[in-house]
Parts: sequence; C-alpha cells; structure tokens
Amino acid sequence: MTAISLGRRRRPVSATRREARRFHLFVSPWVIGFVLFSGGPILASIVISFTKWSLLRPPEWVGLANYRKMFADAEFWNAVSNTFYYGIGSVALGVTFTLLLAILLNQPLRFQGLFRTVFYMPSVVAGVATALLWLNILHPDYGLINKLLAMVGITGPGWLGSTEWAMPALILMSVWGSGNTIIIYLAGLQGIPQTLYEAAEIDGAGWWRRFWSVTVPMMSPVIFFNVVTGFIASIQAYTLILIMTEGGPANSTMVLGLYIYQNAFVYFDMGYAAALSWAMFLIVIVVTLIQFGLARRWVHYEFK
Amino acid sequence: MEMNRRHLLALAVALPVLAACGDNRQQPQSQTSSVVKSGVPQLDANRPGNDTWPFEEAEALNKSLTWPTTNVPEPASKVTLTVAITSDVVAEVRNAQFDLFFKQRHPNIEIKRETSAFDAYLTKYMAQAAGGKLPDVMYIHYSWAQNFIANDIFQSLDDYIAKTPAFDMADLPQNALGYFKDGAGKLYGLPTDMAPKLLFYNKDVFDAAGVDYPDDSWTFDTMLDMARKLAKGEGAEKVYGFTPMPIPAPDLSTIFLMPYGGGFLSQDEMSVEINKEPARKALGLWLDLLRKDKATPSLAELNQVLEKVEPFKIGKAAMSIQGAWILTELAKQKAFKWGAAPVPKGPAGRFTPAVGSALAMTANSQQKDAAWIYLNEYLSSTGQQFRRISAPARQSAWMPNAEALGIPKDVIEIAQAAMKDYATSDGVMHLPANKKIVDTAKPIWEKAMIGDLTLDQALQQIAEQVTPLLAENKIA
Repeated sequence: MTAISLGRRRRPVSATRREARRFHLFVSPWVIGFVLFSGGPILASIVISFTKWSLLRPPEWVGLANYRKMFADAEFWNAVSNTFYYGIGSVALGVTFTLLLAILLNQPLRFQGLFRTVFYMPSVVAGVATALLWLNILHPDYGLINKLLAMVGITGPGWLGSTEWAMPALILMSVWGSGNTIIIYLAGLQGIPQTLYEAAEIDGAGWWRRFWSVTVPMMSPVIFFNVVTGFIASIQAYTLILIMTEGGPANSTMVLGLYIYQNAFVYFDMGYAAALSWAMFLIVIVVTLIQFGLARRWVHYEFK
Repeated sequence: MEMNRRHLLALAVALPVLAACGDNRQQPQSQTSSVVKSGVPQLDANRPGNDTWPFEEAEALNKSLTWPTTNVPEPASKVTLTVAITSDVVAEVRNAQFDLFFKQRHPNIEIKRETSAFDAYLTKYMAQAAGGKLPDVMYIHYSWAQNFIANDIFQSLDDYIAKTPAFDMADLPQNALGYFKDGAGKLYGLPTDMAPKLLFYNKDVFDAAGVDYPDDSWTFDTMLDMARKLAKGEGAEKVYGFTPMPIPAPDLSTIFLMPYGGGFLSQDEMSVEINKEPARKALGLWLDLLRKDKATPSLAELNQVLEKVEPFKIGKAAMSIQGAWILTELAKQKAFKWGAAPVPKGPAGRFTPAVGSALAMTANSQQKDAAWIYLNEYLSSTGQQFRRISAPARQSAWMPNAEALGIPKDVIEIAQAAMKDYATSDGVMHLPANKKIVDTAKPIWEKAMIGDLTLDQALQQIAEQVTPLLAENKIA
C-alpha cells in the first residue's frame, strides 16, 4: 500500500528532466569549486582595481586612477595590439591545422592509434620543457627550422631575436600541443553520420565537395567551440612567452597576459594589474559576443 | 535537444569567460618555485650530504672552525626560528648541514628553513607580507631592500650588533652597506655575499691572436679596440670580441658610464642623465661596436645562444665583464683557459659595482634574539667559510673559500683589490622603481640596437618615459 501511495505522489520523471538533473550533477563539482575558490578573488579584484596596493602597505583608495592610467599607457595599447595579433594568428593556424590533422587521423589507416598517440604527446609535455625545445628549434644558427630552410636555399630569420619574426614564431609554436583540440575534432568527425557521405557520393560529390558541404557544416559547432575557447586561451597566454622572449625583443611580444603578470608580480602594482585584468575580461567578453553573433551565419546545428 | 546542446555550449564558453580562464593550454604548468622543492633529493636529517658536500667533510670543517659568540641571551625554552632563503639544489645541502650543526650548538633553537628558487622568492614573500605573516629571518637582494625598509618590514640590527663585540663590521664591505640602510643610517640587513664585477677573458682566444692579456693599465678604449680585433667567424662558429652588450640594468652606470663621468640617473635616482653627455658618448661607442663592427652579440644573437647561456661561458667570446660569483663555475670548466683583470678605467676613473644580498630580521618576529644568534653565526666569517661561497661578504673568507673551491689565488687578489679600492654602490640603482625603470628603458634601447632608433632618439625616449617613474623612488 505504502509503495503504491508513494508511487502515486511521485510524478514520472521525463527524459528531459532526467538529463537536466544529470547535467547539473556532473557540472556541480566544477561550478562549486569555481564559486568558492575563484568567485571571491574575482569580486575582490574589482575592489582592488580602484586602489593603489603594493602588498607591503594596506590598499589605498584611488578611484578611477588605475583605469585613467591604463587608457594613457602606450604599453597597454601595444600589449592589446600584440594580443590580438597572437590570438588571431594562433587561432587561425591552430584551428585549420588541427582540423586537417584530425581528418587525417580519422582515416582508417594502419597504426592509426600510434599516430594519434604521437600527435597527442606534445600536449603532455610540461610548458618549460616545450619552451626550451622551441628555443632550440628556432635558433637562427643551430635550429632545425633554419637548417631546413637552408637546405632549400633560404636564409632563415632571427626568429625570437627579431622584432618582425618573434610573434610569428610564437604563433607557430602555439600549434604544438594542440592534442586536446585534435581529440575534440576527432570526436566530432566520428559523430558525422556515414549516410551523409554516402548520399553525397551518390550525388556525384568529389572529396572536396564532401569536405566542404558535409564535413565542414557538420563540424561547424565543434569548430566554433574550438575557435571561442582557443581565442579566450590565446588572449590570456603568457607563460611560454614569458619563458621564451620575456615580451621582447623591444616589447614586440608583450601580450596583455604578460603585462598583467609583470605589473602584478614584478612591480607589485596590484591595483593597476587588477584594472588591466578587468580590461582583459572586457576584451574576452566583447570578442566572445562578436563570435556568438557571427556564429548565426556559419554554425550549423544538426537538430533545429 | 537543440536547447540542451546550445545551453551546454553556452555554459562551456560562458564560465571560462567569467573566470577569465578559457582552456588551460597556456597556463603555467611548472612554477619556478617548485624547482627547489622537487629537485632536492631527500636528505638524511641527521647526516645531510651529497657528492659536492659530503657530510663527513662538513662535520670535520664544522669542528675545525671557531664559531662566534654574542651577549644576546639564548632562549630559555625551545623556540622555532623560520628562515627564508634562496638556494639551488646543491647549496641547499650545505644549508641543511649548517642548520644541523647550528642546532647542535643551540639546542633550544629549532630551525625551519624555507628554501625558494630566486625567481619565485620575491613574489612568495611579498604575498606573505600582504598576509602579515613573514618569517623571522629573510634573504634580501640589494635591489629590493629599500622597498622593504621604507615599509617598516625589517628590524634595525644596530642594537644587536652593539651587543656582539666580536661582530667585525670592518670585515664587511663598507661601500656596499648603503643598500641596507635607511635615510637615518640605521642598518637593516647584513650582507651574506657581496662581489665586484671584473673583466674576464678567454686566454685561448688571446693566445691564438698573439696579443697580451688585459691588465690594470687597460682603458675602455683599449678594451673596445681589442674586442674589434678579436671578433671572428660567422654563424655558429662566431667568437665575439666582448659580451654582453651593455643594456639598461641597475649597474649600467657604475660599469660603463661613470668611467666617462656620466650616469643613467642622478646619484639620488630622481632625475635622468642617460641622454646627456658624457653618458651619450659612452653608449655611442658600444652601439658602434655592435652595429658597425659586429664585435658584440646582436639582440638576436644575444637572445638565441643555446638556452640563453652567456657566450663567454661557453668559449664564444674573448672578453666579458661579469660578477665575481661566476668564479666557481669558471673554476670547474675545462673547455678553455681563462683569466681575470680589473674592470678597465675611463677618463673619469675606474669603477665597479659592489652588489650582493643580505639577511634581515623581520620587525614582527617573535624570536628576535634567536634570529640574531642565527644571523651572527651565518654571517660571520666562520659561517661564510663553512658555506664555501665564492663571493663572501666577509673579506676574510675570500681566500680560504677560493682555496677550497679551486679558484686561482691571483684572481681572488684582483677581486679583493677591487672591493677595497674601487668597488662602490654609487650609481647602482636600488630604490623602489629600479625594476620598472630598467624594464621601461630596455625595449627602447633594444630598438637602438636593432637600428630602428638612432642613439639620440633612443636616449630621448628613455628620458621621457623613465622620468615619470622616478616619483616612485621617493621613500620616507
């Protein structure tokens, strides 16, 4: 009787509600951690951005002084410009290169697992080791790239020592370690129904047509995801740049993340660093909203 | 289905955006501070030692030395003293040995040593200062000290020195104590290492060219001429005449500008002088050496030597002005023969910076007496001989340490003469804005090195951009 009466009180759970519950269950550890450990510092940084705080004395309220200083700071604008250069370059190169690589790794070849492992391996190499490796690869005299260029009669540039080539070198390096992106692409590629390709073949589509009219539209949500997260990551990138160029030569690789790091942890100008961080946040928001706006024109969702 | 997928995508994007963290492909994976932590092998707490510093040698040396005393009383009961230092993995073993024997001499003082890599040290302890929780004893670099002193972080040591009659102040370099004094002359830090810069040369390169080694008669003009003469080769085979090219640095004035009578900043660090004669002329000579003669590494070459190793250290340069702390490294290497000479003189005389680090006691320490007992031994000549550092602040420790480390006696005599005769803290930037000044001036100077700016344009831009920063040098 009890079981029946309880059963009457409980409404049947729909598949949608069940999915929603599971979704919230699975994301909750991250969201709780985010609120507890990041939410507080984020809120505190708003207040800090209105103060002058060198850590050795209590913060002193300065109102909008840090923001006024930021708008008048030529190095801030240089860092913003370099950040966009790096972001656009690394995302464009990374998204294109890793998509093509994922398509190749999706082919039914012998040693497919081995190839996938090899291309993923750089992702697990520590950042400092990656930096040291690329310092050597990019060396003008001893480096692998310039040696290869010399074999075809090209004198390679000074790479990290050149104001023109240092940023392209960092963009080139950013593709290294894109194993995670490749995995996301591979998962997306394997989700494309084979029937679509078969139908396209029946209609006489060649490989390019199948790629352009089937693969790209079906992968567009995944490409969009990688573009958005890749751009956010590249706007904040600074670790490898710090190790490899320290923002030089002549500040040609001084990106916003590195400039924030420098103000916070080299000059201990925490108020200004917090204001710069909020500027970065604003840039991330604006760029992301633009991307979401543009996405309506090119991102195709299978189920409407 | 559509809504769920879009929500998921929006959430996946929005949360990282909110956190300003995106994905973490570019996030730090290895902090420098962990180098020491993870790199230090597990030491036997009762017998710490390794191949470089065997425990038996440390034990014998400890017994052979006479440790200084003080009138400051021993703690009546057990206290724990927190000591924050920087160290590499090898020297850390020696520090462990020092602390072990110290505890044997002072059973009521327990030492809790916090070791950080140099690059991570300041960030760590600035953060701790903000939290109001600093160690009892702290390592302090000469270029940071004034910021801490001006903010009342350290305890004046004058009273403790007065209570220790055997504390030999005359054995410390008087010309370098100014970094650690306040405006009233109170002393807040005592140097642990302090060294001059010297002109080092590669004897093999000089011998191959059949020219005489540098000596105390050399002027900067002699050195620049010789650098032009000795530069040879191309690409990977290139040997530079002199390295590194002078760049904006805290001691740029003392080494390269004061011999001509110029400076980067005024002595009080409140006005810019680098764009005026004779500093302008001195820097012009170096730009010519770089751009016309190509006898010193270009910016590309300077940044690109394998893993950023100084070219002189791998035999790729005839001469280099370096701090005496590279003596240990040079003494160990066998790739080339080397020698040292006084820094060349200029029309206005001969100068070299006396720079190094100190230990300080924090003002909020609850164990000040114990902290002094530790400082007294660690910073004594005995302590510096035990630690076998190549550039000890105690002048009496230079020769015994050099003997133990295999550093030629004649080189030590040159270093000691430099400390006594012409080493100085004059011209060495050490007020709070020094790092910001250097970082502002360096990229502009690099544009001159590349050729994007003329000498005058670069120096004018440096003057314009550095001047507003000098207000930060006003300290109480």
